Amino acid sequence: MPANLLRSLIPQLKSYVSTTDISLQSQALSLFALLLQLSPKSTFPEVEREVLEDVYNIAYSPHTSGAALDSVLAFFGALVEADFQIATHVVSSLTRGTPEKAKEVSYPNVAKCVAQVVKSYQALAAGVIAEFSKTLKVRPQVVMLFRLTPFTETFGSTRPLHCSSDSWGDWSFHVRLDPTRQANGHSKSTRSDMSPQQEVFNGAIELFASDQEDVRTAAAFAAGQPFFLSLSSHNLTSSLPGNIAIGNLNLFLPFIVHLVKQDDSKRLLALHALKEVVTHTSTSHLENLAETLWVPLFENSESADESSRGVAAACIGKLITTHPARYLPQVHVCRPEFFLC
Amino acid sequence: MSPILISRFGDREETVRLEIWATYVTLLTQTRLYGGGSQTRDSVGVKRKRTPDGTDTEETSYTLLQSQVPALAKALLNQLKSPRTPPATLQAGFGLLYTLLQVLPGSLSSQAGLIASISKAILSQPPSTSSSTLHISCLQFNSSFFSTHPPPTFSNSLPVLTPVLLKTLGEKHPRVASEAFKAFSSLLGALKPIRGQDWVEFVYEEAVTRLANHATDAEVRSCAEEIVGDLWLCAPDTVHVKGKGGQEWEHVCRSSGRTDGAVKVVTRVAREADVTEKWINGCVEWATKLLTKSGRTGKADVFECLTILLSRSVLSQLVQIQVLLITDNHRQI
Repeated sequence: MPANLLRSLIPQLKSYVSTTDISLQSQALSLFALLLQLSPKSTFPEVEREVLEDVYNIAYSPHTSGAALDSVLAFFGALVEADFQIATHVVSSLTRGTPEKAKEVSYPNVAKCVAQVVKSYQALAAGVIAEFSKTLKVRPQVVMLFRLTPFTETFGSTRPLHCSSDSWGDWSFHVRLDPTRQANGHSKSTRSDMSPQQEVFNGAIELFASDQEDVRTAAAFAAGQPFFLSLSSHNLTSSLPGNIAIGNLNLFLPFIVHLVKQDDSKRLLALHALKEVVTHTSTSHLENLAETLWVPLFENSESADESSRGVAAACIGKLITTHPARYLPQVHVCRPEFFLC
Repeated sequence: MSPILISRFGDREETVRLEIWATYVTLLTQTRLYGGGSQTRDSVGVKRKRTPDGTDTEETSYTLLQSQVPALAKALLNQLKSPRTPPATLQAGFGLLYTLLQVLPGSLSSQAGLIASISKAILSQPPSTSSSTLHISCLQFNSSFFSTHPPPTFSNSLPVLTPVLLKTLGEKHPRVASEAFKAFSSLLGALKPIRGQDWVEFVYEEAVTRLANHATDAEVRSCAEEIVGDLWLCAPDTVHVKGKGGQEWEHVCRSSGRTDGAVKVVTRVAREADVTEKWINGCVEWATKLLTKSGRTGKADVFECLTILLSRSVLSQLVQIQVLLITDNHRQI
């Protein structure tokens, strides 16, 4: 692309990078992302100098969601891929920024942006995790909290935690990278790969008792993740000796099932955790899990609590797909009302 | 009901005849809405019929209508072909045929010759204040005919039809000229890719003339812009020879006045046609200027246009690099 065209195009696009018109802002950011992909060398310096600061403010805005947030993520992804060296700077700017009113900061947005930067430059993952770990006193909660706590500390907010379950998936992606890389690269023992997950899992279960609903929700989401991680890492490392997936499965699943069966106060959250397991597990793996999960889920489909019934029913639906001939008649006989709609 | 109406298509009393045609148009519209195509098997109007070999076939309003089209077309075109038919009757007839093609596209294949000769007779007359609506109806029907029938159906009629269509293209009446451009758009789309047809050059020149003239009506201008895009997509050989570096784009890509149609045409050409790096850069420059205009109207389209142009820019560079590599390899061999 001719340099003179870029010189005239960038200022024009920049004028749309504001929260005045979110739709046009989204398109302008997508175009910046495209320019960064097409001619990174000539676009990057201009974008860094002229546009980046404004994009931070857009990322903080709670009004930025949906397609607009997607374009912000695409922008950060393209920016980091244009020059990896900026990745650390972007992460620190995103998390160290101090808007005047903490209430006007969308923490999930910032978390997603940081996650996007790490996704685009995966070599940063270990460093970012280590950096955020420093600020945390409780090691087991590092994975769940490191996207949350630093922001509250740096923004000086009185809110200890602010999270949404959907942001969690972004981080779990990176957690998955570490055991895989270790297993492939340095032949670390299965136990050492599993131990961080054990810590994360325990930390999540502890937060089931949190007095904040969004924290409890995120914790339930998190508790379902170790299975997802271990099953995924099983896919990636199936040629290695030992079976990480089955090891982790034996370790974590009985505890969740125990909570569903025995602990009234944590039942709903444990069911949400099971839903994560069921949702993110491939059909072939789910076939192995189905027997273990079927009875507790089926019992909860008759629960007096509507939320529990709903989550259990969603899980049952997915389980049925693993072996319809076996499970469908049981549902048909015991819960004919399922078929009414 | 349909056969009875068709049997009275040639009613001696003209007002009665027009009423019958109008009734048939209503019947066609209702058939289109509730006729029960293959996707709406359970709809009203579906009738099972046992064939002699014992299998069931479904009779829908569509299949019934299909079987009656030959009789319908024969009866109607017989009324239209007479040179003494008044313009109002001709217009009503073309309205009916147009509606028929909306319900059953491609159903007039066997009548192409007669349709072409009737259209020629109508379009050969200069449009007056009273007959311009007839010209418009005739052109609209022809557009629909070209886009819903396979080219072999009407290729023999083109030598008869294109001269009068080209003449209509130059008409002063803006709606007549617009519909003529639309008819050629349909024709270009149907015949794509087109090579060695004289009329394509005339269409190109007329479009450029209209675009270059600042006094051109907005609707005609929009249709001329559209046909420049069609020519680039369907007759690239002609525009590359006649275009001489793309003089038509100088007129399409203007900064003043309404630019929404031009943005859409540039986007379409950038997305689908074979374009050069120079053309892309010129269009990027133009679209960048459009971003400076005040107001929000059309900005989303400009952004989309820029996205397509920039994406094509890289593709075009890759193709050039590949061509250079291939040439270099050949030289070495």
